[in-house]
Amino acid sequence: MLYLLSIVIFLLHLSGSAFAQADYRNLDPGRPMVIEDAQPIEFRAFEFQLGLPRYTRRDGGADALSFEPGLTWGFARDGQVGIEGENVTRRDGEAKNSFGDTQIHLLYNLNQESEALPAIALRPEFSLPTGAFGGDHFHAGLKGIASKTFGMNRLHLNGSYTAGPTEAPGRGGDRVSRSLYGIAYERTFPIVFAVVLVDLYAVRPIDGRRAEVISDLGGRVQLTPTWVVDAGLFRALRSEGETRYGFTLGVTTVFSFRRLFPTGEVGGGEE
Amino acid sequence: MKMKRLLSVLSMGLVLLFASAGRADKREAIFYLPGEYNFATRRAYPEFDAMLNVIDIGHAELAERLIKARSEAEAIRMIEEDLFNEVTKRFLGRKRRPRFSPAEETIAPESVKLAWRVNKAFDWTHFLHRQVYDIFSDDRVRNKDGAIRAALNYYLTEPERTFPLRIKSMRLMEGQPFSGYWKEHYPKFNGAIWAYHWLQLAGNEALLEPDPRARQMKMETAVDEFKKMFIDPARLPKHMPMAHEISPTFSARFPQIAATFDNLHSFHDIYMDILTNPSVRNKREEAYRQLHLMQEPIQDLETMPLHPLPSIPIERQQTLLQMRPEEAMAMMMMSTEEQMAFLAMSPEQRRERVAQRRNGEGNHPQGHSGESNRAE
Repeated sequence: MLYLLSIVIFLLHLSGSAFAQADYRNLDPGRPMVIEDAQPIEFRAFEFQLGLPRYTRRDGGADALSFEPGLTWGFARDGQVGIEGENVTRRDGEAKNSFGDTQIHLLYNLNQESEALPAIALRPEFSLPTGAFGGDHFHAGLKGIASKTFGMNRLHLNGSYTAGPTEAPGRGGDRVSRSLYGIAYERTFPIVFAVVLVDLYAVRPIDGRRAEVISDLGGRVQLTPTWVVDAGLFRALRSEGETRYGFTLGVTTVFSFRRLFPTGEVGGGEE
Repeated sequence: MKMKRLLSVLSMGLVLLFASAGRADKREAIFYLPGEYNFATRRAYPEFDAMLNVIDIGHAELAERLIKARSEAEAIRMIEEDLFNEVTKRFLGRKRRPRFSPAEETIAPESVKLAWRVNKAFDWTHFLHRQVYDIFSDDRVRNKDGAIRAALNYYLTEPERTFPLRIKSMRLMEGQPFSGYWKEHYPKFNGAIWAYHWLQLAGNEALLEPDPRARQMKMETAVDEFKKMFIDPARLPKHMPMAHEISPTFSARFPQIAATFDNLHSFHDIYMDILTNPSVRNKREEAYRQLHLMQEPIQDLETMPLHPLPSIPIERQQTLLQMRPEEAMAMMMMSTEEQMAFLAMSPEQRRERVAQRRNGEGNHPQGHSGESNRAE
C-alpha cells in the first residue's frame, strides 16, 4: 500500500508535465458508483483516481472514513489493468486506522456498441489481504459488464462472482463480495460535460452475512481537460434490517508518458 | 432439472452474445500524443478554440439529426433551420458553448453506431488537426517542424484510421453515383461545413506567422470572418476550400499534412452524400467501401496541378470563397498567375472562361483525374 501511495505521489508531481485528458463518462467502480461501464480507458493512457473520502455511517452510530487511491493503465487496445487500495479509519467508541484489501483488476472490452449489441466487457479481479480492515485470504473473481446507449441515456449491467474462502464475520470489507449483480442508469449532458447516475445492486458479502441491497446516486463532471470530479450518496439495506448510508467525493485524472508512444518514421513524415 | 435447462439456455445465450461481440467493430480508443504543447490553442487562442469545439458539435449533431429524422423533409428542416440556427448562436456566444472538445459519441450517440470505423478515422485525423494547432500555438516549442513530424508519424501508426498523404481525386467526392445530393438538398449547412473547413485551414495559415502579435491579429481576423459567415450566410463558401488556396504557406511547408486534411474534408462530403442520398440503401457498407477507397494510398490520386495561390489576406478571401465548384475546379488546372487573373475577373468573365476551358478540354471535362491516375 505504501508502495502504491508513493507511486501516486510521484505521479501527482509528474502530472503537470504530461498530457492528460480525463473522461467524465468512463465509470469506474466507486467513482462514485459501484456499477461500472464496459469501456476501458484509452490505449497508452494512465488514470489515477482518488476517493477523498468515502464516508459510511451505520445505524448504531459507528462510522468509517476511507481514502481510496487507484491507478489504471490502458496497456492494450480495449484492455486495462489497475490496482486499487484503501486506507480506512473506523470509529466505534475508539478510532482505528488501517488498510483494507488491495485489488488488482484486468478489464477487456470485446466490442464497440452497435445498434443491436451492447458493449460487453469482462473484468477478472483479484483481492490481496493487505491490512486489518481487509480479509485474511486471497480471492479471485470475474465480472461481466454490458453497456447500452439510448440517445443521451445509458444503461449498465454488472454481474460478478468471487471464488475463495469465506472470511470471518466482519472481515473482508466492502470492496470484495461473494456475488454482485446490479443495474445503473446514466444521463449524459454533453455540453456541460457531466453525467448524472443512479444504480441499484444486490451484493452478498464475502464474510457470509446475508445479502444487502444498495442504491447510489451521483454524478461526474469534467473540470478541466485533465481532471474529473465525482460525488455520490449511497444507502444500503441489509436483509437483517440494518441500514448504512454515506457519501463519497473523488477526483480522476488521465495522463501518459511520451516515451510510450511510437513517433519514429513509419513510411511517412514530412520531407 | 428445470434449473439445469435454464442454465444451459443462459450459457448458450452468453456464448452467442460473446461470439457476436467478437465479430463486431472494436472500440480501440487510443490516447493522443502527449507533449508540452497539449491544449496550447485553448490557452493562447480561446475564441478560436471555442469555435473548434462548436464545430465538433456541429459535425456530430448533423449526423445525429440525419439518423433520427423520420423523413427527408424533416431532416432538411432540422438541419437547414434548427441546427444552423443553433450552431450560429453558439458561434456568436448567444448559446452555451462546450468548454472542451466534445467526443462525438457523446453528442451523436446513435449515429456513431452506424459506421464506427469511419468515426475512428475522423477522430484520429481531428486529433492530428488539434495537435498541429497546439504545436504552433505554443511558443515554448522551438523545433516546431520536428514536433509536427513526430505528430504525423504517430498519426501514421494507425493506417486504418489515416487519410492518405497525397490528395485523392476530386472524382471520389464529385463524380460518384450518389455525389452532390448533400450540397443540393442541404445547401446552407453544406456551406456551414465548408466554412468549418475554411476556418481550420485559415487557422493553419495564420499560426505560421512568426510574429506573435501579428499572429494573434490574424487568428482574430479569421475568427471574425468566420462569424460573419454565420451572421450573413451569403458569405458561406460556395466550394470546398482546399489547403493550396487558403493555407498555401502551410501547404508548401507541410504538403503531406495539408493533403491529409484535404482528404479528410473531401471524405466528410462523401459521408454526407452517403447519409443523405436515399439511393444509398446500405449506408454502413457504402461508408466502409468509400473509406477503403479514400484510404488506398496510391489509387485515385489527383492529377490536376493544384498550383498554390499566394497567401491572400483573410479579410479579402470572399471573392475566392464565392467561386462555384466548377470555377474552383477550373482554377485547379491553372497556373498561379492565371488563377490570380481569374480572381480579378467579373463573374460573367469567369463564367465565359470556364466555358472556354470546358470546350477546349473536352477530353478532360471535369478537370480532374481519370482512371489511370496511379502514383507517379
